[in-house]
Amino acid sequence: MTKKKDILRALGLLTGAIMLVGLILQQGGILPLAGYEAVLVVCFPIFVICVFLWWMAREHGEDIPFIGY
Amino acid sequence: MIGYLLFAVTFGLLLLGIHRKAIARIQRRPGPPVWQEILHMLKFSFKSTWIPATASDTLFVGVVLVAIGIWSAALFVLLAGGSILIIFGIYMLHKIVEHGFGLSSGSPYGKFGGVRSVISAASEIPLFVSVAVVALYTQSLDISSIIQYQNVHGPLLFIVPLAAVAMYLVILSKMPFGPFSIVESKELVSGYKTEHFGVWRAGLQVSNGLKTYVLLFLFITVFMGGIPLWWTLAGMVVLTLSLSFVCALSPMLSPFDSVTVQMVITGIMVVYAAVLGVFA
Amino acid sequence: MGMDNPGGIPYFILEFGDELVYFSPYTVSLFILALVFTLFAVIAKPERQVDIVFGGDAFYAKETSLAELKFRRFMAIACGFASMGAMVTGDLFNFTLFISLVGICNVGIVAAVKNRHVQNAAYQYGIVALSATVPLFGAAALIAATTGTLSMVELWSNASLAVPLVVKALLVLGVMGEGMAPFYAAKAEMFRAPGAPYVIMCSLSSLLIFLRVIEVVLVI
Repeated sequence: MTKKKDILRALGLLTGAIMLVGLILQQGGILPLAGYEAVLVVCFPIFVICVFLWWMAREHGEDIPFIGY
Repeated sequence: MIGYLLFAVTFGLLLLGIHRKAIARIQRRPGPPVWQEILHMLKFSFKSTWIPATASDTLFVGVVLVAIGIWSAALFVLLAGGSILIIFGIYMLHKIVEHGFGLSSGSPYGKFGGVRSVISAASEIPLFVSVAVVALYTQSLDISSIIQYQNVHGPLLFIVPLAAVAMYLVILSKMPFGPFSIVESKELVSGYKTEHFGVWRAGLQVSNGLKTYVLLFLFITVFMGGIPLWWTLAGMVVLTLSLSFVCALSPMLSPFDSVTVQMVITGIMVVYAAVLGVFA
Repeated sequence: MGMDNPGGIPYFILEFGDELVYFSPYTVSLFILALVFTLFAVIAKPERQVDIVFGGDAFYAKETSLAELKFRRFMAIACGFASMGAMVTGDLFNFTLFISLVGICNVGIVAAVKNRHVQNAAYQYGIVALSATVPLFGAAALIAATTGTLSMVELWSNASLAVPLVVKALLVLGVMGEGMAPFYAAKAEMFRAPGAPYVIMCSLSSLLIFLRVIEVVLVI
């Protein structure tokens, strides 16, 4: 389980870093605004989900769907 | 831009919170605090999460990413003054996301929510007619040209009020607890999002915040013109409160009635657009 | 002569005479979505749809057999390719061709399920799609006959070429017949078919071709 969390943290950090680099490049005038926005559209969802999955509580196994009481 | 994105998520969720609070006060309940939806997002993100055994794994996770991605793209198109047709397309594709949420889990409740979401595609047609009416006047579908037109001729809200009503109904059918929100009605537990729990639901909350922000911002921009950001935000709060009144005072329609009512409105809008097209 | 760039200013146009591919912000965003969902169809394992009696506690999970899975996955991927093509093509003949392919693939995705109700729904949908090819290709033929070109760029840049309104209506009618799938959802039989990523390709491709035909009608 710790291995999975490591991958998620790495992916979260990677997409976060890409977004940061994109911001710096865009401020520096190298990357056009549309390019930076394309980077955000791809990286932001992955970043959000990875960060959430990384900081969530411990994991269990799979479950059967809820079928009523 | 990333700052604006985070602001849009937070403000959109705050608007949903105001919506809940207003509905509660109208119905003489205390209601949750206005920041409840933001707390929901954080709370769900800390919950223990996995993929259900019956689910189609990649799709189950993928639609959450797609949901956040398409609404971030819609926000950027809106801010850049791009084509309103792209935002319309993203709105239609949100149906596929709902459908994907529902069908990927293997749960019958989710499946019925997803099927209802595709059937209620009828509610998307009024939006398209209002776009057509706007295009009749401005001769362009670019949001920047629509703003320019309004700088010269005054707000479109007073020029084509019926188109504004059609757009209002589309936003209404996307608000929770409304008369047309059959995709998440209580007889289906939570509709299409029944099986998306924990982190997946937190991701859905992020996309919901963005969606609310984009749709209300779009309404203000298209029908009031390019007013300063503070006034736009105030207008969005007023719009949310008016939506809350409608949601609080009307019952949820049955799927059949919901689609029928929307089809009737669509028919009226088509006639309106045709009359304007001939005489204007 | 239609409206100027309803889908934004094109990034670039790849021309082979009348046959052309063009990428505007609108077509590119639709293309990327078709691509993403096709990738989902390639890598996702199918759902195991759970059927229950509402309010009861009896339930069972439907399994998708390997042979059925392979065929439906093939059809879903073909459907994804056809809708990607329909999104970026810039000439009307290829557009109608891709749309009729989408219709065929949608029938294939549903018809692979060995269930009487699903088969019945697929058969009816197939008949609608079949008869819709007449207005669809008829519209393309009429456009070629009245204007002498099938290139959308030519139709929109040349002010003297006007497409009659009735031909545009025929084109929309044809697409509505081919892309009936999302509205066919009103027939619940279609969703007795398990296997999430594949059934979603039906509704995705149908909604995408609807969105594209709106742009086409505005452009020409």
